[in-house]
Amino acid sequence: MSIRWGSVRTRYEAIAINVAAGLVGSRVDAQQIFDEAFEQLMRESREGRVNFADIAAARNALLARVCEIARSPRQPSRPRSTTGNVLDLPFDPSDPEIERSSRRHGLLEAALSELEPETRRIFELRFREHQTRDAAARALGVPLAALQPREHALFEKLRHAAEGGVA
Amino acid sequence: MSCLNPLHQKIVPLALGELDPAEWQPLAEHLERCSSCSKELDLLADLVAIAAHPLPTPPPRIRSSTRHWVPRVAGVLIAVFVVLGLFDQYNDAKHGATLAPFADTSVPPFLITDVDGGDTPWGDEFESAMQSWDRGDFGDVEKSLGKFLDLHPDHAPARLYHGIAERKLGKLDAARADLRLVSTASQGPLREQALWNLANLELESNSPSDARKALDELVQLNGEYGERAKELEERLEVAK
Repeated sequence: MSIRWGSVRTRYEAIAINVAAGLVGSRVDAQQIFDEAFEQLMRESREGRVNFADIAAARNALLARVCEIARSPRQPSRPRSTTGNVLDLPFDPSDPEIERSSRRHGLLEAALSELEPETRRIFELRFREHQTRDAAARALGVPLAALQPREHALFEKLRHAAEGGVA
Repeated sequence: MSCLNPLHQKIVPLALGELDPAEWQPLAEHLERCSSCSKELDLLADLVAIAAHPLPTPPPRIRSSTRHWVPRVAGVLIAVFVVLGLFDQYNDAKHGATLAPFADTSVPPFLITDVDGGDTPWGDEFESAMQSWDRGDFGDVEKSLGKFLDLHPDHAPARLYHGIAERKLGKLDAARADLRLVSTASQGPLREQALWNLANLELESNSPSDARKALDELVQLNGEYGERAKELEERLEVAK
């Protein structure tokens, strides 16, 4: 299967950066690690050195490569310029995954906007503000043990919404 | 049905960058076999991606009892839109969420030498206000640069980074104001950086016509962002 790398990047860049940031402690370095991992895999795929059965396999390989680079001994971060280190990836607007992804995001955003304030706050704390579960529980004023089931309920609602149902 | 393997509990920590590195390998192997966990990770990937963008205001709901008069009112509204010159905004809105994937959401590293902060009387103060930038703590940067800008409102580099931090925090109106100011009041790399961020902010806001204005300026300046702006314009044109 020919992988659409624009889709891989659109869908998994943010999560791969989270994974890298968790390992190296800096989101700027994490962005560089993602760029490096992505560029390597895309090149290897185009040269036929690696093959992926589907986008999920490419995702797994991308996360694995991000971990590998993040855990390897690295030189101190040396930014290339003030413009950031963004790959100029040819974007394929005919890629159906882009449309599917937009639709899914629309459903999830609608579901998020309709959540009760406290449940939405869990999303804000954990996903947007990058708070640990411990810190999020403290911010919400609930015991740590109470947060996990609430997170679980949040994901259930959102999963249902992403599948086209009503959260 | 959810996977019963204990590794299922590790997917959220993985997505949020909290996984113990030693746990990665078994989880990676599990993800290759388990479609339930794979779907869960995809959902989380979508949520993490959404979290990088601001949540839009939910669209107003049309009650069924009002539907019969909607077509009549729609005609009047279209006329008003044309008269007020708001058709561009309508065109922007109809692109909906499809433009967000085009937006560059990366953050430029802070290079004190590039912005001449070290040579100004308050250079140390500026550098100190930017301390949290490399950690990606944009909330902290926004606060400390806000205080700095209260004292030095014309400091263009501080205004630029303040705008970028606001954009990362989803405060798009405030970010737009800062970036517009830098793009009109500065020259050289600061102006280009502001225009590039402004163009991508407008894509996130589903305002392609405003994004194009900023991109057109970058193309005309023909500087470091000229080629990228041109390419992005071409992609937007193809995606129309």
